[in-house]
Amino acid sequence: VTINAGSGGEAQSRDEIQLYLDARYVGSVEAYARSMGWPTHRVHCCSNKRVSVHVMRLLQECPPIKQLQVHLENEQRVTFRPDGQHTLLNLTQDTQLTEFFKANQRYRQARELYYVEFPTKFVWNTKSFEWVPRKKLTVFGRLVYIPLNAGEKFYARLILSVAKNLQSFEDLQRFNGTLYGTIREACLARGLLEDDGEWRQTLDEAKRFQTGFILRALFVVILRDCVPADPLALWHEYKVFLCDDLSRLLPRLGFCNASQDLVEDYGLYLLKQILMWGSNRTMTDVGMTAPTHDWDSLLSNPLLQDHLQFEPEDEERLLLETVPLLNDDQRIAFNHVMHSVLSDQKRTFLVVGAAGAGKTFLYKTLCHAVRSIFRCLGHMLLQSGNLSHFV
Amino acid sequence: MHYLGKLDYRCQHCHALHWLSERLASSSDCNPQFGSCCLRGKVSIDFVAHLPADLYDYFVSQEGDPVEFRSHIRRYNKAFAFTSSGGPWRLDGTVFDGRGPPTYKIQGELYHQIGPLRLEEGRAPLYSQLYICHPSDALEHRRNNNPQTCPDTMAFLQQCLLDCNPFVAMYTQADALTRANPVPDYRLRLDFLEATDQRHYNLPTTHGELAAIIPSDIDTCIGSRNILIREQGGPLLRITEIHPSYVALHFPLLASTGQSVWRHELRYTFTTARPRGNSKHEFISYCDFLKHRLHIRPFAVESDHYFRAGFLFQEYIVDSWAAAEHSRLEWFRHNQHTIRAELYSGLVDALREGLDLSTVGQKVILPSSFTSGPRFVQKCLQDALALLRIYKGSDLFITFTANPAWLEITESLLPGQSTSDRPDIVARVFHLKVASLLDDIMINQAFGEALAYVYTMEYQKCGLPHIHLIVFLHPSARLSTPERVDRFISTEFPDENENLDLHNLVKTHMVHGPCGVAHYSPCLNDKKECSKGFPKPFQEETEISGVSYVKTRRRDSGVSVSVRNACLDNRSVVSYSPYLLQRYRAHINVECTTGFNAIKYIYKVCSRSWLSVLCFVEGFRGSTFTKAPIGRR
Repeated sequence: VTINAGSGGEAQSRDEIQLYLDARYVGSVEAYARSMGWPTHRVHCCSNKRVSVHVMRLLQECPPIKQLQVHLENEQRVTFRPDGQHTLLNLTQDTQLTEFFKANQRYRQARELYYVEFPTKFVWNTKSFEWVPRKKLTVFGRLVYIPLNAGEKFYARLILSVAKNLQSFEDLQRFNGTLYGTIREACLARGLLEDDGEWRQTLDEAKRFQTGFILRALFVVILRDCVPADPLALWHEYKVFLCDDLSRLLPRLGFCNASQDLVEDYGLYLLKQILMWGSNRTMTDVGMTAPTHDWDSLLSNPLLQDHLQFEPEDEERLLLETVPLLNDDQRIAFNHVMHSVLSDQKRTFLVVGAAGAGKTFLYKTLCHAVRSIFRCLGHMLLQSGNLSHFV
Repeated sequence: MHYLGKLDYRCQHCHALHWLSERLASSSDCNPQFGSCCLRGKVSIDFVAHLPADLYDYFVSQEGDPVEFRSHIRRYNKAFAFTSSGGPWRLDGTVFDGRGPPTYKIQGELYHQIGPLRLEEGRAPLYSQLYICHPSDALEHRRNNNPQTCPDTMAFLQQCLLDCNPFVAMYTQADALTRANPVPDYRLRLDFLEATDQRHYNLPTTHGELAAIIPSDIDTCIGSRNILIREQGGPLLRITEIHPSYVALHFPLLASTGQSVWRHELRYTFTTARPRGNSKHEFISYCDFLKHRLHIRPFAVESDHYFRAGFLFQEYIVDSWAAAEHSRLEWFRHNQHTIRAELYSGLVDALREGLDLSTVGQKVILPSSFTSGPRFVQKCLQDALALLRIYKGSDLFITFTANPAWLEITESLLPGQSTSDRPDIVARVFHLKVASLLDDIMINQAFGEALAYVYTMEYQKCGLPHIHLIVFLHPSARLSTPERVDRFISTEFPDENENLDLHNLVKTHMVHGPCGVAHYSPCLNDKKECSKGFPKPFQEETEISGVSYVKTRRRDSGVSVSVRNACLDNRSVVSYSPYLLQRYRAHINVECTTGFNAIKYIYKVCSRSWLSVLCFVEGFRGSTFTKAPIGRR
């Protein structure tokens, strides 16, 4: 038995084949039955009364339950020729859903049917890609399964299962003559969704005694699994509490005097991180806005961040304080080095002295000088305490 | 009583033995045609060659060394195998769990591996390396590695293999060649002569195989179909499962003459004038080859030593299936573009966010067209739920388990065999019985007019197959009143004087337990209580409560029956249908379900086979706990 450590913070790459293999457990009888190609699962229904045995055997081969596609506008499958011709997207390709809209326009009896009932009265012609009125046998339909967290697609499925006589994608967003901006809003208008009262209550309760860190984890759970109706509104309402520790955290990361906007943006970035880590989904997937700053690269080198943090005025003040304290030897060395730096000679110096002779003091003074003169250049040449010593 | 008849119908094309009910639906009883063995002659390949008489005797004889040989046949096979099997998760071989026949099972990935040609200094030769040792040395090593084997048998088997196995000849030849002309760094390639014309009934020559010695610098251009063996050192080499010698190298005792193996260039033969299907399927698939191989034929046609090999036969079946499935999975892995993996979100979303692609990692999708994969089962579950919506509730939940004592099974065993030696017979008989059960329910209307069914086949119980079947009845036939339920379903011992046969059947098949503190049973939970709720309370009248299963009548009639050394009464009877029990004479649990709660439970059963259960397994090394997915239960 070996250990397969969970892929922790690593990027989540799912290999369904490996997962299947790892969980496989085959005995000899099963292996025999599978080799013979006998079915292990079967869903069968004989929807028409009094069919002959022969027809029944025929039906066993094709269970009369038709999966119906659900997709958003212009998100249908597009087929490319492998030979590279017609590389342009052919977006007019008809699907069961687009043809359902067309059939509603064309046939009067179609308007009486829900999408899921459609296959009972119509046949999907796989050659011409259209619904044709059915003459014999009944086939039941079912909408493909779409998880709750799929966003607009889920809401489209919701509308399709309760509304009749839909003639276009726009109709999905229309209710009582009003056209709504998104399908979700249409769902809200139809009374199919609840408002976010319970999530407000949850956050209200949690914000009293939990830290920002815990609250952010909670918020991500709500975003990811509970699908609130309006996540952005929730964010704006509770962002103060969700980010309450960040205004203290940011200066430590090198962002002094960060504005409230920056703090909130960092909060969004942290939410995004938790979301990515747990479910591999993006902020837009769950109806949130993405952070505006590129925090990944800003935070990638904390050492660099640290050394970029100096105030030229402070450095100048320190320089003025330390220069009078240099002894004669140190002052000679200081003048030599500064002369070289200012005249851009790119010379190399070796400072030798006994322990306690004041080498580090010299370095620091030089550092202040360079930083105050060249502003952002100083750290490139000298970094306090990070010099190689020669004893 | 349901009886299939005898296993004595012959396929016209390949002479495989069949039960009559295995015939194709389109053929008649007087002129039965069979499809499962050879697709009505489309698959015509060499029959298994007969073994030398003295070796065959070891598979047949009922006394002396051969009996010992057969009971430990896997041990002997391992001693002579060229390859060893490995896999990251593999629990080794035989699993004896609980009662019932022992079965060979694998878990996780399985593959075969082969070592270098020559052994390194100071290490004992293993597997294939033994074949280039001096025979007496090799025998000595083999005996040391497998101390529990019989020395005479070992000596005899080794001599047999040296005489007739082509791979042995190949190995010795390669060894001699490389010793005579030293090549600095080479690979040994096991290959088949592509040119040999091996169509049906043409017995191939025994030396159709060839060992090519190729220099190592053309390593890069090797195809996946080759086995390249290093001279010395290096890790074990994984053998591709589509190599023709895959089976022969691992089962030298079965394929001792190295013949009748699957090769990718075998073609279907079209006996009928009109070839069916499209020309895409020109080459015989590995599965079709397996189907042909795994049907027993009369001894006059084909040697039946595969079916006499007991445990080794089990291992052969599992191994072959694993290979077939693996090559199918590999196809999916390498054709993710074809199945449009990028359409299953994930990658598309990552692109939209502008993230670095390499950090996201591409998903590998196992599409729903892969039978018994997770997406496939998900699709079945959704279809089943659609049926539930359409018929507004299901009616019967039937669990049907195979009975190893069925007459058809015991009749068809070869002399001296037990049920566990012949998984093929068990699987085939059960398959036919299930088909007959479905016909009884759907066509003969055993419970009244039935509209639909859903079933799941499972195999984990001691390797015995069982089926979970859900039946949807016509509204007019619903078991909605206690009288109707009592007509079809019972949970009581029948009167001994009235129907002795049924009474005995209930006693053997339909009694739960005994379980409890005094009797160990797998159904006990942590608190030593029966997880299935047995013994259940007495129930004067059948009660339909509308929330769960129907509580069927269990009267306190005072009848108590001695079952498995315990006295049990009506409280321990599992609900059954008298008609089905008498007809099929096996464990058939028939539950009547009403309401939605019961249905939720049922679909949990239906969908659970894809939920890989995480079990904690205590590691063998001291106190370390290791965690492994144990299987789909």
